[in-house]
This record gives sequence, C-alpha cells and structure tokens, in this order.
Amino acid sequence: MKKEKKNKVVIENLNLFYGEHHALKNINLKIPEKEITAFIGPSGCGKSTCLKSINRMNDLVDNCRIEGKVFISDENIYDPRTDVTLLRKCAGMVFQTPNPFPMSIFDNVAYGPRIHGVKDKKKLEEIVERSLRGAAIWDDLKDKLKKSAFGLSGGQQQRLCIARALAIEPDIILMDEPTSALDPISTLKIEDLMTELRKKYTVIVVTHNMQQATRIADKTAFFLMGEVIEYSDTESMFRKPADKRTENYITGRFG
Amino acid sequence: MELFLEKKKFFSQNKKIFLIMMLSILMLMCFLLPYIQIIINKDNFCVTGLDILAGSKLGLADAGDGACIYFPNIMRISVLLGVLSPLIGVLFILLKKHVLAAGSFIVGAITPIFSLLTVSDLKRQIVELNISSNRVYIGFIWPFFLILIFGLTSAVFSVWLNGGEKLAEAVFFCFALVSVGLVLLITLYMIISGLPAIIEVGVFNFLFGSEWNPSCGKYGILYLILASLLGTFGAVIVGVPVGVLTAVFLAEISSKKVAVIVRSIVELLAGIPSVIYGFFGMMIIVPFIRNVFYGIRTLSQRPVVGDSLLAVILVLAIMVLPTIISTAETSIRAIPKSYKEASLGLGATRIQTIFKVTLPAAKSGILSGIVLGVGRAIGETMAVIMVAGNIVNFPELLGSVRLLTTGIAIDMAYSSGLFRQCLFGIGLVLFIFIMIVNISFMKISKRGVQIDATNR
Ligand SMILES: Nc1ncnc2c1ncn2[C@@H]1O[C@H](COP(=O)(O)OP(=O)(O)O)[C@@H](O)[C@H]1O
Ligand SMILES: [Mg+2]
Repeated sequence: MKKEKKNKVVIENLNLFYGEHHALKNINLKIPEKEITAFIGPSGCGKSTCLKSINRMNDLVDNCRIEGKVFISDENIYDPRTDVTLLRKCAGMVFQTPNPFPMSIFDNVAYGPRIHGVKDKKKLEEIVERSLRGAAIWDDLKDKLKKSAFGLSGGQQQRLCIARALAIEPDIILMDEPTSALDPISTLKIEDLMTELRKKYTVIVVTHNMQQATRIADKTAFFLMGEVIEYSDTESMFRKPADKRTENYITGRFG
Repeated sequence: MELFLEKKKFFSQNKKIFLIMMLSILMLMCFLLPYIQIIINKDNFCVTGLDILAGSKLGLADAGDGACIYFPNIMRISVLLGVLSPLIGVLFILLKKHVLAAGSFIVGAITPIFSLLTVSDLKRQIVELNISSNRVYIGFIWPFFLILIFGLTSAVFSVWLNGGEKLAEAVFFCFALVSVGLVLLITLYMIISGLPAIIEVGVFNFLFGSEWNPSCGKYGILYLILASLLGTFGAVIVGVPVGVLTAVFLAEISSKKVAVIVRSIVELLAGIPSVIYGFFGMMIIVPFIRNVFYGIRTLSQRPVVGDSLLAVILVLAIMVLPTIISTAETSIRAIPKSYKEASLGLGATRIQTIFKVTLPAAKSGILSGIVLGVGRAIGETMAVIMVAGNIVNFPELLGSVRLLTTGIAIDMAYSSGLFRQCLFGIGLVLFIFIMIVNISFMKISKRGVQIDATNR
C-alpha cells in the first residue's frame, strides 16, 4: 500500500555504556526519510541516550563508551574520520526545556549559520526569516527580532529553538520531549509544526506522551531497560502490539 | 495544663530592673574615678570625669606660672553624655521604653571613645608648653572599660525586659551597627581631614596642578592621579585576558585534577602579602625592563632604570589575577549547561561555544570581577612603592612614576603642616576613587542578579 521510503538513519548493533552501566543494549533501528519516528518508553529506559547517539552528543559525557554503528545517509558517523561539526549541522537538536541563548531573537536564529561561516547580513536576514517561517512563528516575532529571547512564552521559546535548529539546514531534526515543559495549547502548536516539518525533514522525537505518538508519528519504537522491544508502524503498534510488554505499557499497566 | 504558662524565671522582671539600676549607678560612679591620667616627668595627674565637667583646665606648675592645659570641648561633651545617658536610660526603663533605654545605655558606654579621639589634642597642648613629648604619657584607665561593660550590660538587660527574642535581634543589630558605624566614621574622618587642605590649595590647583613640590608650596597632584589611573588601567588590560582565559581553562577545558591544582595555586597567589609581590617586582621585573630597554631614553630624557609605570602595571596585573580568575570562573560555571548543549548541538566547536555563548552570558559576573580587581589595584601601595621609582613625573610607560598611594606613604612619616594635610587630601581623592569603583561594582553585580533572574 505505502511506497517504501529510503532509510535515513540506520542504527546497527548499538551498545552504549555509562561507565559500568549498560544503557543501550544491542539497538537495531532503520529510520525512514521524511517521516516522524517516535521513541516511547518509561523514564530512564534510554530514549534520550539513543537519540543523542544519532548526533554524537554523548561524546560530551565523560566515561561514555559506544560500540556498534550508526549510519546517516549510509555514512557511519562513528567512523574516526567523521567531522562532528558537520554531523551536528546535518542533525539538529531540540531539547526538552526551551533553551534559547541570552541574546536577541535574531541572534539566536542566526547563531548556527554564523558558526558555519555565513557573514553576509542580507543572507543572514533571509535565513532567519525562512527559519522562523519554517517554525511557524515568523508572524509573531517579525516585529521584535531585536528583543531578548527571554521575553517570549515557553511555547514561543521552543518554536524559536526549532527555528534555530532549522537555520543550519539540517536533514534530520532530533527532538527530546520537546513539549513536556509546555502547556496543552503550545503543545498542539508544536505538534502541528512537526507534521509540517515532516514534509522536508526526517524527524525523530522522544515523547513521554503516547497520545502524542499516535497523533503525529509514522513509526514508533518502544524502549524498555535499554532495549528496543518493538518497532513498527505506529498504527499497528497501538492497535495490536506484538509484544506483551508493549501492550502493558501502552495500556498503562506500568511505567 | 500549664504547658503554655510561663515557667517561673530565674530573673524576674523586678530583679532585672533592680540590676539595671545597680549597673547604672556603677556606671555613674566610674566618672568619679580617675577618668584620665596624665603623667609628665613622673608627676601624676589624675582627673576624674566630674573634674573635667566642672573645671575647664589643668594647671601644670612645672611648666611655669599659669601654665595650664584645657580639656577639649569634645571631651567635656562626651563626659556629660556619659553621665546623662545612664540617668536617661533609667528614666526610659521606668517609662517602660526598654529599647530606647538600651539605646541610651549604649550611647553612654561608647562615650569614652570620643574622649580618646582628643588625646592628640591634649598632647599637642602639653608639647606647646615646652615639655618634650616623650616624657608625656596620657592614659585612660579602668573607668573606660568599666563604663563600657556596665553600659552594655544594662543595655542587654533592658532589652531582655522585652523577652529573649528581642534581645537576640538587638544583639545582631548592634553588631551590624558596628560595621556601619565604622564605615561612616572613616568616611567622615577622611572628609574632615582631607577637605581643608584641598580647599586651602584650591580644588582646581590641587586636582589639576601638575607640579608637586611641597618645599616650594606647590601641591598639584595631577600626575599622581594620572599615574594611578594609568597603572590601574594597564593592569586591567594585561590582567583581564590572562585571568579570563585561565578561568575558561579551569571551568571548561582542564581535567578536574589539573583544575584543582591550578585553582589552589591561584588561591595561594591571592594570599601572598603585597611586599612579596614588591620583592618579586624589584628582583625580576625591574631588572628585566632595564635590560630589555637598555640605552633607551624616556621622553623626559632620563635613562630607563627599570623602575617604571610598566613595572607597576605588571606587578599590579599579577596581583589582580586571583580576583579576576576566581570571579570569572564562578560566573562561567554558573552558566546553565543547556546553553552549551544548544550551541554544540548546532555544530559549534567547544571553542566557538566558549567565545560566542559562555563568555557573553557570563559577562556581568566577569565584569564585576574586573571591577573588584580595579579596586585592589588602585589602592595597592606597598608593592607599587618598591617598583615605581617614586619620582613625580608625567606618567610614561618606561619612566618612573609616583601614584596616589605611594605619594601618601612616602611622605607621611616626616611631613607636617599644610604638606601633611595635603597628604590627607590625596587620601580623600583616593577614597573617592575607591568609592566610585565599589559603587559601580554593586551596580554591576545587582544588574547581573537581575539578568539571571529573568533567565529563569
Ligand atoms: N550522563 C550520564 N551519565 C551516567 N548515566 C547516565 C547519563 N545519562 C543517562 N544515564 C543513565 O542512562 C539511562 C538512560 O537514560 P536516558 O536515556 O536519559 O533515559 P530516558 O530519556 O529514556 O528517560 C538511565 O538509567 C540514566 O540513569
Ligand atoms: Mg530523557
């Protein structure tokens, strides 16, 4: 029925250790291009860790050891020759709590492009406008680009952070519980935005909220104690989970 | 049943009032004891407080007929206050105004301090009667301590009449008053002792006169001011990059082990007395400058000897490092991790993150560290004296200079008259500079707190 899409991210036999703690156990995932993939599971099961291993944010953690491979567009990002800077430019990240920089709205969005060498003012203005439009917040903010980003509401800040991630023109957008710090209305707006983003980007989102997964995700992976228990189309997983543990979780029997 | 009824107390209310009465009587009696003792050539004059109040002079037969010294008015006022305030205190107790009573007891207790301030005046009078000053001894004996102790104890008791809680509050308040009082006292003292000279020389001539030559009556401190400002400015220019980069290294780059070692060394640096820095400057920096610039002449056509503004700048830069490093490190560490994550997540390198996000976000903290450093640099005396050369010159980098602080220190020992007063005037100028620096520090750190608050 659906035409098979190309796989953007392929995780192969990924094992991750924080010191002695085996946080990810033999993960295998094939994440298709231009779809939304959700990671669900109880707290501490390794969703964030797995997400971060896709743009190597785990490199920042002391005594974190990684085995296995992660391919993005068929390139292994754990190859020693990988330029982490370019990798992160290709896979932008949005965090759980909105974390704009203490700068103006414009500078926040322009931060990434500037880092990557865009100096021309015209070009920057263009990028900022395009990114803010992409995050569906241009109309709200276009008159106060010079104002501090801290003046915005939580939902606006989170969309600003998404715009900031869009500004570096990534292929993949990684979101770690992007709505968990927001009120229901802002949450709905961000969800609408995600379905919009799906047209151009591969979106991977960690969520605590199973309704959210059913609303937006094409595919869903269920994590438990560092393992992927089940990974399939969202619809079929929620209608007819293959694994007993998945069923227990989505029917609210634990977690 | 009797849980909330007051237990019978060891000191009943009446006993306390009785004690206060006794203490104030004792305090009054202290003024009958020898309040001040003057020994001249083995002659021992003991003067009671009431004598001071009543008679206004003390005859010194030794020094010739009619020779006498007068007790300064301040001393008489302080004795009067000392006598009156216990009485007033008791009155307040009877009126059940316990806090006011405590206040008057405290006033009474500290009156002797004002008498102490007039000792030099007495001594001057005696010396003017041709009695050599090293044969004069002026002492304030027991009454001083007794008055203080009785006064403070009765103050404590009178507050206690109101219950323990009030007592504790009052004690804290008194301690707070001590430091506030000292600051006010110093400020007042600086203004009183510094202003007359400035007015006599003329504000403009004093601040903007370029000739400092006390033997010819020239008291212009422009070059001293300039040298102080340039020395401090230079120290900041040299010290800030080094300090901030060290702080970045400690907070962001180095491993924990290395950071601990470096940090403790920096803390040691802060504890080294300034004379030692002076030594270091004298033995290392000054010869270094002399050798590097050997044969060059300064603008004023003097050879470069090494003692110079440059040496001052370098020594001060080293001295302000610890302050700058520790405040900068603290404020860098206070930056939320989420900023760094966001920046790195966008593909910035660690170095880019430090310079584009962390340092700008920490800038108000870093700035307040710099201002603290400026405060230290501008007031530094000892280390500077040892490397500055101390000749009053238009300040140039390689030439010898005299700063405000060294100007005071060098001449204080032997100056007199207007010259000496002018040194106090310099002190006042320095004091004002430091006040400006401190007030801007408070402004900056307050603004920093506000920014942090809006970040939440
Ligand atoms: N920086 C870290 N150092 C050590 N252990 C960590 C670190 N981050 C996460 N962990 C551990 O790894 C496990 C998975 O964490 P995480 O991926 O954050 O879970 P989730 O996002 O699913 O709630 C948890 O047991 C957590 O304690
Ligand atoms: Mg998480």
